[in-house]
Amino acid sequence: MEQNVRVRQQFDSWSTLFNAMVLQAVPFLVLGVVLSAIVITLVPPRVWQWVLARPVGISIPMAAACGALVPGCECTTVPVAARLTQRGVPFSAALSFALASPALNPIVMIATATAFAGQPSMVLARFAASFVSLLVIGAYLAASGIQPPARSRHDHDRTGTSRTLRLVDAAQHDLLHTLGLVVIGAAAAATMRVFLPTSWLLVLSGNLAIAIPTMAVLAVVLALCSESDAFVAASFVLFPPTAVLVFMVVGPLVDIRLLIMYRSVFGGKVTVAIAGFAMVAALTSSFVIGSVLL
Amino acid sequence: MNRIVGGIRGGLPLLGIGASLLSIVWSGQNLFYVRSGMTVPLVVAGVVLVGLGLAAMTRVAVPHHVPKSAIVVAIPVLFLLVVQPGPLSVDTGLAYDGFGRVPARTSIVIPAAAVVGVDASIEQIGDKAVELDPTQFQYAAEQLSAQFGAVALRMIGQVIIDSDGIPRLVRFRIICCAADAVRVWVKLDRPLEFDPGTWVSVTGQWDSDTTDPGIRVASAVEIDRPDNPYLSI
Repeated sequence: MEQNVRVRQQFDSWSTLFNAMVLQAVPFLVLGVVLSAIVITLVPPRVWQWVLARPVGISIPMAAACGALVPGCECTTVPVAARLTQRGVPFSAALSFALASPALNPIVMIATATAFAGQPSMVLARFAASFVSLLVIGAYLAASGIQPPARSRHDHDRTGTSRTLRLVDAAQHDLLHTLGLVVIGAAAAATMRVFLPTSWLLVLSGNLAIAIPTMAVLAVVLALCSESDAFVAASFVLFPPTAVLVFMVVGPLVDIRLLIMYRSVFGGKVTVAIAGFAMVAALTSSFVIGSVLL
Repeated sequence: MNRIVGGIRGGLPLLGIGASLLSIVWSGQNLFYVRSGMTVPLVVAGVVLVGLGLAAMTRVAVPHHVPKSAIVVAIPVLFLLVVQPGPLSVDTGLAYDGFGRVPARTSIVIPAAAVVGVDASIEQIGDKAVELDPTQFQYAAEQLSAQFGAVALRMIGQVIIDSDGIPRLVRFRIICCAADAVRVWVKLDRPLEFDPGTWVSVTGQWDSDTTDPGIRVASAVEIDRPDNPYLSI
């Protein structure tokens, strides 16, 4: 009987969290897909190439800086990066641009300043560690020559049709390809939230060497929106500040939802490369910058 | 792909999820899952999705390829329109829901009439009480200190006995959605005669504890769950 009640409670929690994550993500996904549809249909390729297809030393910082000005969610990252790449922008710059939007945008920084009121060093540390991580990821992708697989045969040449029809076609295509991934990601994250016994993780907060990977794992499995993660991070009062910083820097770059989308759009090898290197870059930059500033 | 079949296969997922978004906003149940500020983005997204779905189904613009993963869009449609889970509750099976005390960042206005003195009667407290939520209460206990002890207050929330056996009044505070919910609570000076998870309205006064602020309860009545059950920033 008690077991049945427990299962019922877990199902209720799971379904509430699942609905919450889907409803939170879909408007941002639609925004991202419409923006990327505009990118592919209305903005001439030469514009993007002029802005971002420059030498790596310029294009990646410029891409990260431009992305930081665009308020976006993790859910916009993959479609925007894919469409920019399709438009001739180097993959390294395209991904830096798309990742910078959720990681560095002004709303995220204001939220961090609010959650850590009286601790401006935490805002500075988050911005610096995230920005450095993006530069390192971009430089790594450029140096390694990693490219996503060529776009599939499903991208049809719609030359000759009206711009509106091409925009609708691109939006339909991207939404049909990403909505399902958002659903799967939300289901995975809700499952982790309900069934992962995180209480034991909190016991590990006293040791920095354990606290940092613990917070990195939490960032991946909780898959919080970057605009809200600072408030959850602020509640980890037992953890060292550097470990809290890790939580905020890793989340927008690597989480369950992103991994599923990376895997589907960019393929397994590219996903492993992006996720692995992004995790290393985020951990290293957070540790170094956190040690100096916090 | 046949254009009719393609239009239906591509249009149904978009139409279904778009209609679900609009339906959930229409019923007000979006407040069970996301903050009120998401209402307009949900409506806009719903309209865009319905429009794209209709464009496919009426064969104005038919998707050339519909991935198999699109079928899983039926799951949120099912959970939003049929299962319709309620908001998070203190008696849920959530393994992790943050901590009881989180940094208090808020502002409050306490009318002079609510300052009834520390020896006020139950009737005085009930008549003059100012409505506060747990975050405002914690903020007032930290910032106002001595003066706050004379204030009559009313607070709504769910009752629970915590793992240390302390009766508490609990609300969930969200930033974006229920996935980032953090419990905020105040302790009560005595257990109430309600089942855990019951929504109640409590009147009383601050117990002068600044470490774990609590309420000396004057009265408590059961209430319906509020339309917007979460606190938000």
